[in-house]
Amino acid sequence: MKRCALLVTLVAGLFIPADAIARTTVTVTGTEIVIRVPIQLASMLEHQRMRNPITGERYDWAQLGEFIARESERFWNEGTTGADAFFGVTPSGGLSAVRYRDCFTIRIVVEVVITPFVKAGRKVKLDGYHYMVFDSKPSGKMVVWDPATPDPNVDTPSAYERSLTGEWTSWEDYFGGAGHELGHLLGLGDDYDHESGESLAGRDGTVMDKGREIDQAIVERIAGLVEASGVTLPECWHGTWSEGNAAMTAGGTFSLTVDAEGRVEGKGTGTQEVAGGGSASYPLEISGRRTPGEFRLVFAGSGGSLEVVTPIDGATARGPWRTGAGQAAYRGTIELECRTCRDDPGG
Amino acid sequence: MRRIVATLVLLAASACGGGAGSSGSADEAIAGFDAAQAEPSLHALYDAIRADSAEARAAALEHLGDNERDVRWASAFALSLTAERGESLDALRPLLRSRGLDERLLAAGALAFNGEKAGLPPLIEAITSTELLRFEDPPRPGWHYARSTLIQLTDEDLGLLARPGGRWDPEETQARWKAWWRRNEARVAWTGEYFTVSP
Repeated sequence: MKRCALLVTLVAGLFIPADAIARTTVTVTGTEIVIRVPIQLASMLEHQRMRNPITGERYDWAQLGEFIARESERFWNEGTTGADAFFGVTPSGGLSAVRYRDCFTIRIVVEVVITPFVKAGRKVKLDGYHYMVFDSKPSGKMVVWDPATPDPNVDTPSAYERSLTGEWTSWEDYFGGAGHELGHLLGLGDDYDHESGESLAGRDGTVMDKGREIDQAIVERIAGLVEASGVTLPECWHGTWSEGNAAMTAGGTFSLTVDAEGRVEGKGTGTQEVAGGGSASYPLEISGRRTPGEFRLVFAGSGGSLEVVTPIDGATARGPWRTGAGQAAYRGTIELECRTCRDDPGG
Repeated sequence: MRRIVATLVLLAASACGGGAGSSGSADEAIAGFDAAQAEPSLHALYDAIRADSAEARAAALEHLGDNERDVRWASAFALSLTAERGESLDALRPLLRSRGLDERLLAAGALAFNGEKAGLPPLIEAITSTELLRFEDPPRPGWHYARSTLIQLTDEDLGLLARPGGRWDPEETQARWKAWWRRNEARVAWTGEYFTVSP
């Protein structure tokens, strides 16, 4: 039977352009990775109103879809829900509290559309959405079927390649349950053993186990899935500089990304201290280019801009910091370290 | 082009003997339900239910008294999703007194969903249950099922809703619900959407 399913899939897949079957999608802007998860809930009961488990109001479909989407986003992005205080749960901070390689933030955007299961005798299926049958009966299960593997503990990028199907029940609170299932639509496998129900080693209490925690390992796994889906994350470098003379010291920290064409984009904060006087800090915008051998960075702040050329050696870059002709008294160093370079970035 | 694609897909599907809705699939999905292969078993069962709920209901009725625990569970589960007033809902009624929490709650949920207030007492009883239900992802305890079902199928709160300033207290909430049931059992009426206490 599995072979037959494969044959059908292959025949269908031959004629479907890749962009038409992409579902969970990824956009990378600077150091922010945004993952959009579009979900169609095909409701078994038309026009049924569901009750908000916090306020008790009965919601129509549009309100319910919005509620599920926002609560799921809040669960993942902020690690909190509208029922935390009620259940005595301490919010974890979610994805916003954990960065990938100390560089990238991940943010989830959920779009939920509720439709009838059947209209005019035909199943309603929206193009571009994960398709979840939305069964409002109490015993309905929350499950996402992943055709890529029979092992529920394995991460797979299927959700980024095709529309997944599953079953959602409207009876869940949309706090733990929908958050966990959303994890499957990010490609994550379960962190518990399906036979024993026990947590996998070191995974007790994570969102993909039976808990709420979104830890560093979850973030690493999501980023790995994003890359496995074909998205190339930009290089990410962290840097510091310092300069000064007898009258003033200055310095700062910054981070920047380098896209596939070598374009640099980043932000930083500078501080300046005058001997015997006060100090000030200021924001910096960083642009420029990276070649295999060097960075050519432009630091722009409220006081003007400065170009600095820094040679690259493998995953580090180090060089002199000069404020340019006429201000030669101010000298220092700039150092950068690549946090995401897997191969020799100078190669 | 689309027609060619559709034809090829249909040919491939028909060469494989049809899809999940082919004759006998519900019976196979229930009789062959295997807890050791829970996910594919559940998938096959859901496929059968979605393909033909009447067929799934008939197969579930046939296997509800099976000697195999897993097959019995699959029958009760399929019936809980497909039951209608009449034979199928009546068949679930004895499960309200089952020793197994899963069977009790599957039956209670289905009965209450169909407007039968006999489903409410087992749900109230399960408000304090920490026993895990079978084949849930992620695993969830009985109280979770009871809480969400009572929220949806009544217009009451009595400590269930996560209102600001409130705190989940299963024992206190259960005591309030038991008192509510003792007080109102005769007047609890089905609106077509949920239970309410009629004046």
